[in-house]
Amino acid sequence: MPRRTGEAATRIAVILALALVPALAVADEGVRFEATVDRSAITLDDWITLTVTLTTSGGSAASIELPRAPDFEIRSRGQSEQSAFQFGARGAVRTHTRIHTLVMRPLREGLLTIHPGRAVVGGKTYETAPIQVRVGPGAAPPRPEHDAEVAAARPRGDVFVEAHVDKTRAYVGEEILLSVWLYARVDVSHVSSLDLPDLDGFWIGEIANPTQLSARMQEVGGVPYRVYLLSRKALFGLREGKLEIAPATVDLTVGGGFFGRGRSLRRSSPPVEVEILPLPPSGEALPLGAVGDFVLRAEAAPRSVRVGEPITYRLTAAGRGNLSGIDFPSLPEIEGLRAFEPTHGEQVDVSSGRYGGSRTLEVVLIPERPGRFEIPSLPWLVFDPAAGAYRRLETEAFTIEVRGERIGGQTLDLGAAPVLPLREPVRLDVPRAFWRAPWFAAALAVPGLALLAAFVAPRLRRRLGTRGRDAGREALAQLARHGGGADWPEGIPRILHAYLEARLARPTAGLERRELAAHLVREGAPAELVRSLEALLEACERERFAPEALRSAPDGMWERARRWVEEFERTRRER
Amino acid sequence: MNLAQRAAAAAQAYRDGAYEEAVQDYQALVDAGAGSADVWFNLGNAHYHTGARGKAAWAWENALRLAPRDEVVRRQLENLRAEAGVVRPAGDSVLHGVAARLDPAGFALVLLAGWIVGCGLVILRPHLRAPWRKTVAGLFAGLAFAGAVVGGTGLALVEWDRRAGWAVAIESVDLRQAPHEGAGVVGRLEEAARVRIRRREGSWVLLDLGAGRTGWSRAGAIAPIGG
Repeated sequence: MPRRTGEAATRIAVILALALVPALAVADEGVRFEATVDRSAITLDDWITLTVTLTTSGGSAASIELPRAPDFEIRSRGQSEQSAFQFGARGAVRTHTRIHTLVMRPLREGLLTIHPGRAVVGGKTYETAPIQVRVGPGAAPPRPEHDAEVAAARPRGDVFVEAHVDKTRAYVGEEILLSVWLYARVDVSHVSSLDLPDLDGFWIGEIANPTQLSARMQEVGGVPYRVYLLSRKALFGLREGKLEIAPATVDLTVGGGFFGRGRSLRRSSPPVEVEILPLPPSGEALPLGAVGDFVLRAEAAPRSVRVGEPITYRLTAAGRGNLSGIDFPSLPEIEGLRAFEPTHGEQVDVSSGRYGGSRTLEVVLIPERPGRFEIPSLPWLVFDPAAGAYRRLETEAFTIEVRGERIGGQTLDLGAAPVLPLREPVRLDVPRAFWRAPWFAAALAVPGLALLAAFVAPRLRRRLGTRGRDAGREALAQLARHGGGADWPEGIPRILHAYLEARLARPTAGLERRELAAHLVREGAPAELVRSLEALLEACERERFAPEALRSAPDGMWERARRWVEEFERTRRER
Repeated sequence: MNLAQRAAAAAQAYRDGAYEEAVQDYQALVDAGAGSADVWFNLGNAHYHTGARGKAAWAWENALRLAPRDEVVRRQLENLRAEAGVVRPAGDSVLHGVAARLDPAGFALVLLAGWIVGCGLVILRPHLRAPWRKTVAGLFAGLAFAGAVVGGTGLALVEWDRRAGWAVAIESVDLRQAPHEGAGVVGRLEEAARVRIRRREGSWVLLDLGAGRTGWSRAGAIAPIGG
């Protein structure tokens, strides 16, 4: 996987900053001269980088006196220059930037000062600000364990690769840490590939495989290098004898800048030989359980169950070493406890920089009969390579209580089963299925009928009322239509009886006057209105039987009939 | 001897290990209309100790009818069937599994209360003047009717299941193609198995064994659940 160094990214940012923002400052002031350090607090055995930047415009000649740092030892120095054109009100102006980089190591503890540097541009002198760096005592931050590796490395040019093992002799199954380092005295902008050799004869565990390279300064043969960790693996020898770790090959790009392409390089590490030693005789009749620094823990839960209830028996080996090489002790067959096929789990932990973690084995046990069962202590043999000796470990023993009552399963031991407990005192009243009783149906029906009635009654009333109103309108329309006609003695009673039949919901033509009056009163008609109707009908009656020649003119009879209907409607509405 | 004395005598006989006598006393209580869930449970226990596993299963099934959520009875029944080699009772289904655990009395009460309250609120609602009162009445009426629907559904499910003709084999019996002893044997019904009775023909019953299988059995070998 291609990888970029942190310096390359920083450099791009610096170039951008130099090309853009400072250029504007230069346009105003012409010159910028400054000094910066990458850290303001370090320890005595650490390094610091001082960067001095001078930016001028118009191609003015300049001379630089770098800041003095008498309390620091300069271990390397570098210089780079950049030119750019700035377009402004005065037209195109050329700016020139010179960067000096010094890698320094403090010579003593305390608050150390880097004195100002000076630059003379166009006859004018510019100074940087003084810089103070706090240097702490020996409580150095933890150095990587590769110091010894670095010390062992031999400088092979500006860029080289080193594969390093933390030990060249190891027992079968013992961990060997293989680290691949890149050493560079030039800027590494890009690592495009890393080919690791085939590691036949080893079981391999991943410790670190950084995707973002970070460098630290280290001195190799008195020369400061930037050192990058490319890969770290844990190797566990599978067979005894001498094994060679073939070269690791790295493709990388050095140099180059924002616009430059840099230079591609390929570097390989020298081969490394390790010797895998056989394990010494243990003197125990036990098979080997693991190689490494492990502890073994056993658990059984629950420890009080009923027949058929599962018990989980778990063994956990935790520590440093090859987890895959762990061989757990076997649980012996326990009569009455059926054991299911074991399952394994693994949790890798490389946070300490070594390969390790924990591995578990779980067995489900099903008691087939009641009683007390013993899960015995299990012996386990571990070879500790650091001590070069074997350790015999013992797990805890457990007692499982199994009760006779059974849940699920296929069999029940009647002979072993206790007498089933009675329920006492017993309830003798039997709950009745009241929902099947007639009263329950009635209780459901009554609200339903009430609901139905509540819905139907208003609609019925409304419907009857509507018919009455229609009859009123119809009667008035007919009276208006026939108004003035000479047949009023026949026409008016006919229209009025049709109207009253609809309104009173009963035939009225055959009723005696007294009966009709009684119905009208029940309907709420005032007595005066009833008498008015009687008089009207009486007049019609009289006139109907009079000879044609003597028959009176309508003389407002139609109008009387119309007013009577209107009045009756009004009283009904009011009521 | 009144019912309480009979119950005490049955319990004493049981404690004394006189399980046959306990069976007779508990059965007498059932016959006298005092067959509560407790009595059926104790009757099943007594049957169990006489070795009549089929009758024990039948008694416990009846106890479960009356107390559907009694897990002790259910567990004893499951253990008994496992012992008898009845891996899965015939005709078991998800619906039956649900219905067998429902308490019909509770559902009936929810149905009745929901229906009465819902109807009352609907009738009352038009007579309320304030709009917020109408809204609240409508809301509660909706909830009450929803409760009534739930209650009615649960009750219907239980009733449907109980009328399905469930029974227990009180002894192991050969199942035949036709209702007579000379007919061919189509299978064997294990003691304590739960089956459904499809119909009766004289002293024979046609049993539904699930998965479309049927067979005739002597009626005396089968005891209906719930009388």
